[in-house]
Amino acid sequence: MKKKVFLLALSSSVFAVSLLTSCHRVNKDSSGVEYMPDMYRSPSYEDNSFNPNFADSMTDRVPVKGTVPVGFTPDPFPNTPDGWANASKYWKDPFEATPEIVAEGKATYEVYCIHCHGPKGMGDGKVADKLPGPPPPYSGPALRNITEGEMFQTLEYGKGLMGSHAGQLTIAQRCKIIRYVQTLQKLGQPADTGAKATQPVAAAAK
Amino acid sequence: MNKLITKLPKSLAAFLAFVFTLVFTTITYAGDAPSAGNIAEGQKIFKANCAACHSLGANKVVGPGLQGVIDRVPSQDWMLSWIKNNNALRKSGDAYANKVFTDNNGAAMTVFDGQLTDDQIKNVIAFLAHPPAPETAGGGDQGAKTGSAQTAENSNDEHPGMILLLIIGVLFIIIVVLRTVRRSLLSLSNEKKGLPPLEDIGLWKETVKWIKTHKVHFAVINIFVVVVFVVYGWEYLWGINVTPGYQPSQPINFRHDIHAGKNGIACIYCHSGAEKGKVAGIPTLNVCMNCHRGIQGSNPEFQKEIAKIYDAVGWDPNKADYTNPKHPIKWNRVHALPDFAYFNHSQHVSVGKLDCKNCHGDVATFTTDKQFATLTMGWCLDCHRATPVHMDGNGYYTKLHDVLMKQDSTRKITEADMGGLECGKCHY
Repeated sequence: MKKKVFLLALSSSVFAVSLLTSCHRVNKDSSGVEYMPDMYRSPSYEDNSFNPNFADSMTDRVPVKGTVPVGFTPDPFPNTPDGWANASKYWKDPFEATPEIVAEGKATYEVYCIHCHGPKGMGDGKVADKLPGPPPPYSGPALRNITEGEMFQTLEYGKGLMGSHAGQLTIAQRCKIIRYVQTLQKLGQPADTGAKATQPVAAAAK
Repeated sequence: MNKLITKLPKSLAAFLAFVFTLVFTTITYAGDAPSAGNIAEGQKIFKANCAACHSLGANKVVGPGLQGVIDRVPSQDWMLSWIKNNNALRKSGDAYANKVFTDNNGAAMTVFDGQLTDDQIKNVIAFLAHPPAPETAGGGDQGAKTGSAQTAENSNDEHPGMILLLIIGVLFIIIVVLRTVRRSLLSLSNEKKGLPPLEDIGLWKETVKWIKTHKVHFAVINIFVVVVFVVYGWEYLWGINVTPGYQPSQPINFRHDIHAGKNGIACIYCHSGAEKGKVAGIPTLNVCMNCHRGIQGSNPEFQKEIAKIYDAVGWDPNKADYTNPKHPIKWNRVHALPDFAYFNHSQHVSVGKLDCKNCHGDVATFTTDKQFATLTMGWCLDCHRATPVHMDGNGYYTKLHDVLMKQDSTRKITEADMGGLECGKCHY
């Protein structure tokens, strides 16, 4: 008698447990039940959140025009033909091209640039094929001789199909990337002969 | 003298032949019927050097669209000198060159003198004079199908508890109905046999009577009910504010599997705040536009989603300018840490050098993002106790590393050793 009760109870509990655990989390669109949401939800407006107080409904604001952050250095090279020409002449990368800086630049390059410009800057990244046209190779005739100032302007303001990356990269990151890209510019040139020499030609012909 | 006379016409003839071939080839390049090889060569050069800024349609990409450009410009020679060095052409006072320049807001085109030879440029001109037939959209059906399969998967949203309650309710109604039927049949048979009619003792007393005569059944039912309530209750209580698997639908069906998976774009590229500050951040639309300025989608479904970006940011794809009204996108938040727990992304990504996957799962296989971890305090602390800190070559820890190594050089140092279990580290 007791055995029967025990067996029945056991089988029923196994059934119940399997039924309930197998159905866990079926509604992907529901964030579930909240207990004391006032402890969870910020009364202040969080970054990226909706904000009814502004006409464009965004909490993220751009600085008021004319305001200057602490430690701000004005950009002497605006996005004008003159600005570009002056940057090309006078802008100098504050970092020395030491192996450490180049390595840091390479790491950053592989996060921010590689998907279009490709691992060696040949304009053969995974996204390049989907673009209307690939970016020109750094070591090709178009970009082989551009100065660090022009590179900085390009990262700051964008050029052609490439947008500005100033919002994603700090100035230091950009300067380090430039040091790495300069090593890519030299690929395939007389000082660096060998297998690499054929690559820019092949990429340019593609 | 004689020799000289015969020699002169010979060299003259050779010179003339040279000039003739030069002129002839120029004519074939510039003329209306260039060879298919020239056009194919021109197409290659166009794709590599021009396509990043110019489309073959009427729409502007960076520079103007080149549909019918050869009929538009003054001459093919003009085109050649424009492509070679548009700056020089404008400075020479060419009216059409200056008109093109001002029509495109004074954006100068790349100078190709020195990059492309005259013959190469002529091939490009030949290609532009004989452009391929416009491609019809399509060929991406496969992507569209997988996309709709993903959305269909999301629509299954029945609740197990509700089904259970429904079954219990139906069973209860059946019991009540059967009892009534049984009672009326019993009293009917009693009446026929001449026995006194059934006394009405009420549902409750009858149930108690049944329990007394069916103790085993009652025990089994009780155990079942208790187990169900305990298990379901446990699950339910664990689900309060703990929502792994939460994958809300988003205003734009953003495909992480395409961006991070197939295209191999690093997480940090879009969520660049993760290595710099507290929040990883939803990328602003200019980050989308870094690529989608040029990529408009390979099939109608993708085109529809990408058009939502253009609508939100006010981009006019034909004029290639932000001239339309803006409509910010209201994304649905996936990960919501409570306001009373401090969490900083850069602390984990830049200092701790943790991979995004540790907490977010393999997002490169997800469509829209979903919550991977439980985000409970126990989950945080488990990792703080178990994960060794990357201290070698990590400038943030040099001093602390030395101190801890002096104490015991064999021990692996975890976040817990550095106060990662203290309440005040995250709750203050």
